[in-house]
Formats: sequence, structure tokens, C-alpha cells
Amino acid sequence: MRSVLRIIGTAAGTLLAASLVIYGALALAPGDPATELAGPRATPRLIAQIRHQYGLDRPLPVRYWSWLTGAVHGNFGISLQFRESVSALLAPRLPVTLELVAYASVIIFVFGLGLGLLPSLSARLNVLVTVTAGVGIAVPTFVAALVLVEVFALKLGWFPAVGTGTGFAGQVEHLTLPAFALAFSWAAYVAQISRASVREQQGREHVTTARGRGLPSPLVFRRHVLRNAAMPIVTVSGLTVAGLIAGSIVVETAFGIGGLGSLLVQSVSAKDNNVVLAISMILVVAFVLATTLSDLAHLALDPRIRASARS
Amino acid sequence: MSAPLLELDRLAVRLPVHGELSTVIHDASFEIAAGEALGLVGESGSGKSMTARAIMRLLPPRAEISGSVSYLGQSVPGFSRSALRDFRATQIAMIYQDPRAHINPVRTNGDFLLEAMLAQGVRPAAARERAVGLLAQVGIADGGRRLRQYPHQMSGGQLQRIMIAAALVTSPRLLLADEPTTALDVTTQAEVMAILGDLRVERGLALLFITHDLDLAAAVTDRMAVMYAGMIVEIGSSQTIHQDALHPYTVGLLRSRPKIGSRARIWVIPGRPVSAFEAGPGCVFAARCPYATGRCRTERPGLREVERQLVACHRAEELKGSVSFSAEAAISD
Repeated sequence: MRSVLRIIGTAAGTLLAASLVIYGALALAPGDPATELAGPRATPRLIAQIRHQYGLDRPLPVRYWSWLTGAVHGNFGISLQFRESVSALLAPRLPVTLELVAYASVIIFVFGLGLGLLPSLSARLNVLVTVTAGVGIAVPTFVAALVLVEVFALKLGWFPAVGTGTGFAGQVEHLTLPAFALAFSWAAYVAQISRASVREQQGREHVTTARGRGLPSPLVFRRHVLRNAAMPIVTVSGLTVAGLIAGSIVVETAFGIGGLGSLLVQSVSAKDNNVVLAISMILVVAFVLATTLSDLAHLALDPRIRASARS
Repeated sequence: MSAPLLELDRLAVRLPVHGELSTVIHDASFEIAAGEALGLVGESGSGKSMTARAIMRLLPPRAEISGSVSYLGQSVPGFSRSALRDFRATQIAMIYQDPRAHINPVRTNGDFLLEAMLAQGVRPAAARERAVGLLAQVGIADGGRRLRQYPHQMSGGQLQRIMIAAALVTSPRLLLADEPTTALDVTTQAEVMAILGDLRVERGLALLFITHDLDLAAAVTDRMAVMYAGMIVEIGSSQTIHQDALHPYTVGLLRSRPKIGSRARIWVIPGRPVSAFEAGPGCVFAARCPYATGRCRTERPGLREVERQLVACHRAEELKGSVSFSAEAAISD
């Protein structure tokens, strides 16, 4: 229980530190949101007025503190380009990105784990899986996106090339190509890790012991190989899901999906700092959440970690 | 005389190393009768563990074996998958040198002790009762609590006792013990050996006891086989070998034991131990033997009966009782 609390405490600390760094970096970045907002023919007086209106003339620590207290209460300020509260702006877009990420996660889990476990059925598949996974990891997301659109949307016409669609079936249909594009290299990575860790565990002495006791092979595989190989697979899967949210930036832009990713790109070029800040924090939260969950999973999977965390 | 429990006849094993097959066992022939304890003695890398693995059919994939291993007259390499599983599950068991590596660290002691019984359809309550009873026999009193603990919560000695108990839950007839006490401190070693000895006698269990410790083997076994570079060079009653070894290697091994109370440097057999695949066409020990002749280097001696033991040495009769490893002997060659 104490180790669970410690993991959660670490997560909260990480969030706070990350918010400070991101806020500071955005404030120090070249370019002035007020100048951007006032347009090319603005007078210095107008710029000063805008600065005052949005509180940009206050000292940095004061601005950070008021942002932080607001953020804790779910208030992320006003978007400079849309003149709308950031929360209202994000509300319809967050579910789109989460759906995309969830869809991609399922693909990664099914294909990555499936491909990774194939060699344990037959040693001859080992080379095939290694090569396939190696090539898969090397393909950048935007290339995967372009190829999928070219083949499945334009040539075969199986799936739409852009948009989000309505209703569950429509969404699944519209999100299939983006999700596969997003999942592609991550699935290959998970396959690679699963293959390697299963292979490593199969060579362990305790697996020899289990085989030497005449246990049926499926039982040996489940209880002594897969169970022990699960730990690195869980870690990588956790990081993968967190990385997907960042990866969605490219995919949403490529497929014209109105999620967080495309909004982030748009807001960065408009110097809309409050929106950039909010989306960045969502990315950080996703990462922290994923690593925290995989830490907790490790506690559940490995009694030795439980013991060392206790002492 | 009835058929032996286990019989190895000219067993040879080759393993793939860097893509090529290398010999790890040249020639191992011995038998173990029901209830008998045989010591397999030799230094690291002499092929003792590989012999045990060949008996269990636990050799690495793509290993090649020739010669025969038979259990109650049946060929072990010829077993079908289900016969092999049956053989491992009910007839034979193995305990290993390093229990920490050989027991799954993420599963409880209970999982380890019970899984073999549960796989055979023993009911959980009965299996648990049996495991606790066996733990008591190996000197672990609070078995019920230990079943819920994990291997990392046990000391090395306790874990080896758990390994012994786990090997015995299915009542095998033959136990292979691969250096079971090497990783333990001396006191624990004595306790574990005593437990093993008691259980063996009580259950009429046959034992293949693998060790590098000649004295220990002589103390706990009926007969012993001395192995060098993948070959059994001498085999006979433990007492006879301990007192009147015939093979120069055995004599050297006996001489290189540390003596309690002596501060002198431990004597070692001159030269470096060779691996099985490095051995030439002659006697595997020829390169280090002060008595080696031309014949020893070209013609490999097989095991033959000399006095009351079997020995693989061309000059066994003439050297009997005179092997000394003194400087003069080395020069006279």
C-alpha cells in the first residue's frame, strides 16, 4: 500500500514539474502572442492594451500561479485565436483523439502481441517476425498514413480518406485507416519486445525445471514463460499508449481529423499559448498515467518489486 | 540379476556451438539399480550435468546423441511426447545446483510445490496436505505459511529443501541431484545431505549424485563414476575408489583435496583441464598424465575390469598403487 502511495505521489510531482517547465518554455519562446493577435498594422498602444487585457504584463511567477490554480479547477484560460475558453475548445476534440488512440491501442495489442508470440509456436517463424517487425519499426507514421490512404482509400476505396464520420459504425469506418497508420510502427515495436522477452524467458533455468517435471507444454508456456515475459511487455505497452497521443498529431493532420493533434499544430503556429499549454499538459498526463499504471502493474506482477518497495 | 533401473551404454552427446557440433560427452556407460546411489564425480565442464540432462532429455535443441539411455529396459530417446511427459512426471526428478535460478521467482513456493501434482489431477487440498508433509520431512516446519511465500523470501538452504520436497511430491524412483549443495554453506550442506540421505533410504529412491567433491560422493553413495573431459575414466565401489583409485586422474583428484589443518598450498594436477571437444584421439587425460606413453596418445582406452573396478587406462595394472605425481615420475616419461 505504501508503495502504491509513493508511485501516485511521484506521478503528481512529475506533473507539477512538467507544468512548470512547459509554462516557462512557452513564456521564454521567441514571439509575442499579443503582437500576433493585434495583426500586422497594430499600434504599440493597441499591443499594450491587449497585453494588459490578457494579463501578459504581469510577472512570470504570478502568471504561472494564476494559471496553475485555474488549471487545478479545470480552467485553462482563454484561447487567443478563438476568443473562447480553452476547456470549451477541447471538450469536443478530446473524445475524437481518445477514440483514435483507443482504436490504435487495440490494433497494437492484437497485432503486436500476436506477431510477437508467433515464434514461440514454431522456431522457423522467428526470422520472419524479426524482419517484419524490424521493417515495421522503421516506417515513419506519415509514410504509413500516405501508403494506407493511397492503397485503401484511393485505389481500393474500402475506407474514407478524411473526416471523422457519425455514429459508432461511421466513426470506426473513418478512424480505421488513421488508427492503423498510428499503430503501425508501435505494433511492430511491441511485437519485437514480446518476441525478445518470450525468447529470453524460454531459455531460463526455471523453465527447464518445469519441463523436467513433465508439465504439459501449454502449461509451462502460460505459467512460466508468458507470466514472466509480461513485465517488459507491459512497460512497453504503457509507454506506447502514451506515445500514441503524441503520434496522433501527425495522423490527425494527415487525415484531416478534428482532434487535439490538429488543434495543437494550429495553435502553435498562432502562438495561442493557453491552448498549446493545455494540450501539452494532456500529453504529460497521458505519459504519467501510462507509466504509473505500468509501475502498478509491475507491483502486481513481480513479488520481488513488492518486497524491495516495502523495505 | 534383474534389469537395472537406468542404464547408459556408450552415451555420446554433441552440442551445437557457434553453428558447429562439438562433443561434450565422448563415452558414458554406467547403470543404476533400483534404490542405489551412484556418484558422478568430476571437475567443472567434464560433462556431468550434460549426462544428467541427456537422461532427462533436457538437452538444448539440435543436440545430437548416440549410444543408449534406457529406463527399465525402455529407450528414453525413443519415448513419444506423452511417454516422455509421463516419465518426467512420475519416474524421475532432478534437483539443481542453483535453486534460485531454477524456481520461478514470480510464483509462490506453493505454486512450485503443487503444480506437478495439480497437473496430474490431484485435488488441491490433498496436494497441499502432501506438500506440507514433505516440507516437514525436509526440515521446514511452518509449511502452510511457506506455501504462501515467494522464493526470494527464503534462504538458499530453505529453497534447496523446497526444491527437494518438490522433486519428491510425485514419488519418483530415480532422483538426479546436480551439485545440490555446492551453492550452500558448509553447515547447511551437511543438513541438506543428511535429509537427502534419509529420504532416499526411507523411500528406496535411486540417486545419481553429481558433485566435484570426491569425499562427499564417497560418503553418500554406494558406487561412483569419475568423469573427465566427457568420458568416464573409472567406476567402482565408492569405498574402493576412495582408497585405491587406479586411474591417474582419480589419484590426482584425490590428492588435490584441501586438507583440514594443513596450511600448505593446495596441490593441483599439472596442466589445464581440457574440454571434451579438445581431446585428441588418445586417452582424454594423456596431455596431463605423467605416465602417458605413445599408445596413450593415439589409442583411446575403454573401460575394462581391473581388480574390482572398471577403469579406462592402458597401464592400470602396471601402475596399480604406484601413481604418485611426483617430479621424478613426470621426468621418467
